Amino acid sequence: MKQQQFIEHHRSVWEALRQTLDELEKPPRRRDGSDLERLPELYRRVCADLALAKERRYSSGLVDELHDLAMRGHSVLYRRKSLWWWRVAIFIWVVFPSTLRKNARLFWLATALFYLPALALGGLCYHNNDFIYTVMSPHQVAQMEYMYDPGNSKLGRSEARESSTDFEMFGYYIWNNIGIGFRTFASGIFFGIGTLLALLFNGVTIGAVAGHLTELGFVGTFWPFVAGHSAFELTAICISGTAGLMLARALLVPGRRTRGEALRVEAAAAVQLIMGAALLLLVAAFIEAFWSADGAVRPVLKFAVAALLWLSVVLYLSLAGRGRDAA
Amino acid sequence: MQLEQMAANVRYRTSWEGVDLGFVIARQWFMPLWGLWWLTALPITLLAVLLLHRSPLLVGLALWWCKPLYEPMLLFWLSRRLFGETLSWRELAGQWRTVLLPRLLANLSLWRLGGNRSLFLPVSQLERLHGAQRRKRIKVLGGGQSAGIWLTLVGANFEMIFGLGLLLLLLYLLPSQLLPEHPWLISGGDRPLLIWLANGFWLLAMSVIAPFYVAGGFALYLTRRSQLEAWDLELPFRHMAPRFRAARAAALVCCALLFMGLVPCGGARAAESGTPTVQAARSAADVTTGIGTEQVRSAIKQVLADPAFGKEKTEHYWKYIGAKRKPDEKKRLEPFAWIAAVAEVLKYLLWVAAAFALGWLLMYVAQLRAWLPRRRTTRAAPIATTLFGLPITPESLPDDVVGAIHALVEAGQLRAALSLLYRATLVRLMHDYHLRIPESATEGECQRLVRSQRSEPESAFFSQLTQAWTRCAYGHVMPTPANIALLTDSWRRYYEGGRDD
Amino acid sequence: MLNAPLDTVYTFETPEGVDLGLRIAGPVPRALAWAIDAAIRYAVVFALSLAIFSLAKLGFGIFLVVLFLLEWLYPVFFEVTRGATPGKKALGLVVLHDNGTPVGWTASLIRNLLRVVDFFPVLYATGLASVLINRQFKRLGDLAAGTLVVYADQGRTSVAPQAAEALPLPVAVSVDEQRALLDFAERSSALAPARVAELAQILTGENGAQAVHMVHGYACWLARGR
Repeated sequence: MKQQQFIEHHRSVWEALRQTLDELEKPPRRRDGSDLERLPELYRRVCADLALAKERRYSSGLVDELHDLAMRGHSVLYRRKSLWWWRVAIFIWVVFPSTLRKNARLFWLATALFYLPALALGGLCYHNNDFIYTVMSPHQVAQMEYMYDPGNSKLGRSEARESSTDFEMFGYYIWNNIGIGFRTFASGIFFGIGTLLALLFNGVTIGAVAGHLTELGFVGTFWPFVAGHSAFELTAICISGTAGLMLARALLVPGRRTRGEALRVEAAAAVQLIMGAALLLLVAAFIEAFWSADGAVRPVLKFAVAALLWLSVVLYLSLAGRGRDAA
Repeated sequence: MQLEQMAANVRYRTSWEGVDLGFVIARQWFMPLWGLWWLTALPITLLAVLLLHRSPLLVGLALWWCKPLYEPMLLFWLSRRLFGETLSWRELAGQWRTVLLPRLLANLSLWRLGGNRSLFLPVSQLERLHGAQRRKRIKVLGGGQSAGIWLTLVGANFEMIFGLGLLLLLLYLLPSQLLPEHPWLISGGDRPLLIWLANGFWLLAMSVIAPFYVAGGFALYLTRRSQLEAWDLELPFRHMAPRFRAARAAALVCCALLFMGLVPCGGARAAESGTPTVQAARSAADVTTGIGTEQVRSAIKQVLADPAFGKEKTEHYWKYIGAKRKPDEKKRLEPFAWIAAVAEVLKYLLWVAAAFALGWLLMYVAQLRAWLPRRRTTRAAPIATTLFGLPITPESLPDDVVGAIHALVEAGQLRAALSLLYRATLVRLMHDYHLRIPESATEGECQRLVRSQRSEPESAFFSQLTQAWTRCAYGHVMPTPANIALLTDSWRRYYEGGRDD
Repeated sequence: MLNAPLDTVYTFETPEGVDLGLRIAGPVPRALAWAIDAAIRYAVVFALSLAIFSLAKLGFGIFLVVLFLLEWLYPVFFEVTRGATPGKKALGLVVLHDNGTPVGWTASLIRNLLRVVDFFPVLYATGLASVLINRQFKRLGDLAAGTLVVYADQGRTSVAPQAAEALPLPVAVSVDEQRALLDFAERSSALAPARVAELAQILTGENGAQAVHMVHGYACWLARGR
């Protein structure tokens, strides 16, 4: 068949597809309800025409036109769109906790990498007043001691802290903590070394600070402050670490897949964890800025709430969406 | 040149894609290009170090300034390689004068900072144009696109990034005790080690980027020629030309013979028809070497004279059109009391939002609980009423299945009998043994389901039955009455017996 | 040469069995797109800092939240909702999955969170090395996410070749040469007339308008027969 005949014969189908695509690429509100059901059929026919035009070496202009049309059809037809709030709900209730449970071994590994140094340094700093200087600079130590000194009413615990300060800290926690979570994850691509260092470093610092301040006797200011949000924050750090270690696992033990393929599969799962960790960190930032910092609440109440929060985090991660993993 | 040996697809594309094609080409032949770069760069480096070793900063600057010196060789090699010809070292060494010298002084002085260096390099090296002709030519090639300049600018940045990246990497990796006490003291005469290091890394970065830069410019040049002159069509045209001309010449010869009966003229024509091959080969070589025949030259002139080339020009520039009215309220707002109030309100709003989010989540949890299990059990397997177009309901069966089958066999309707037997089996499986067969299942899938959930002999029977049925339904191979009787007996054993119990 | 000629096109097969080609974008346009995006982001940060620091600490809190969003989620938002960030849009680029479908949340998040890694140790040096080495110009984030940065197809339409009297081809030509003849007819209106004449002359050996007329005739004969 000559090109001209070919064009005349099929032009109507191409135009129909073009109109359908124009319609479908508009936002749903502005569609005029014309016949969109024919998309798959029209698209398949244009695909067939494209293959013919290529095979018969029709002119480049014609092949390009059909190619672009097929490309548009392809991206509209295979676009994955669903109700976003439904997906958010599924994500929170099913995808995130079940993905975490599927990678439970790495999660426990990350937890150990974080808590063991924390406990070790905490113990050391509790027993030896000067040990903290091996991991932090004197300046940092002084700053930290000043912050939690019951003798002054600085940031964190003052009775009449302004709401605007709360907001400042809320912003700071989001910017800083979630950023740390993301970096912990991303640096896992260096065969896990980055994640490993991030976990150890955070564990060491947090453990040292806790041990040192307890030893100094700042129990009444430090522990009520950190107890509330710790449930979300520390768990989220471990989960970010898990996600980073998943990247490392894909690169180190790809199994029967190529490394690239393993990385793609693992990264898709890991990013679910990191999104969940970001959500946890968001909650943590909220609690830290508006609840933990509230100096008017009695420590007993804070500890009670903290226990409740820890319990809910543990229950959520271990039970939510159980049995629906495949859903 | 053989068209089939053209190693890159020079087609009509945008200027940006032209640059990208160059990067692909450079990746393909990175090692030889890289080596070639060092071939000219290494002597210069040694010379610069020898002469200027007192001030390492100047060495770096000199090496950078001399970049136009290292690039022509790469282009020379690449322009041959792209058409399937690999130059030997001997050929390269023999040609260095003609490759390196054209416009070298200009490129090293006034035009060193010209943005389109790698795009214009082929004009002087491959087309061998000078003076006004060259200026016209580069105006046409360089006009209407900005990819050439951006290639140069971005390329320079890439070098910086690589150089700096390598340096930083080294500093990261060095144990902190080994670092000099003040590594940033760059100008200190006693500790220029860091500058030497930086120079080295920079040179390395330059050598890595240079192949990409030269190939990018060359591919952009080819792309521009495709855009402006349909150069990509010229290649196949040249390839076809001898055949076209020969055919037409042969036609002319026939005419001549017919009209005049002059034989010698035909010989002359035939001889002439050979020449285009030679000519095409030469002009094809022109594409790579750039030596134009007089004819091509004049044609180029003709093209260049055309107003469509190099006349239209749109220039964008920023012009100061005077300041807009200056904002009056220059005074800085001080934190007023209302801010605290706003913050307070926002805080409560956030609490409310958090409460809403929690409530919403709980609502969905409730919904999910209601949804998911149902989806699992009821949606996954609704009881089918038809399978492969056969009605599968208890109502569609006669009360006495075995009797009905016998009657059908007696009447010679073997197909109907087998169909009834098959349907009856499926109905029993689904309704008495609660086998969940989805409506979409095929015969094979039914077989697999039965095998996984029913006893060994029963599934063996079902396999036989299925086989008989599919052969009958799709293969039109009729079962024998004896066969049906056998199957019916088995059926009664499995399903009628089960019911009586 | 046995290998296919070098090109920047990545072909993938659709479920319909048709090969579609994506024109992959290289490091230069991508670097420029990044620069535009960076400029936009810094402009927003700057404008915001002017507007918001009058609000003291509340303002600083909001500022930090916005900084976080710009740093991590700006590309994700634009890639998922619009197909590309404003910078990429300006250069005609779009982000797609390996299989040609528009990029989704997961892949976009992966490729943008891994920017941290591509950035290492300074200004995307790792990413640049990866882009130069990888066949499809992928940085590490693209490798992990399975995404491609390609030129958006603008919906090209074919130009009707100039009407001319069909002229039978004097010799047999290959399919690729047929295509060159058809392309000549399509593109000749965009070329300088003198150049068109020259090309036609190369093929036919005739001069000027006569030659152009002949080649158009061949193209018409190929396109619609006599």
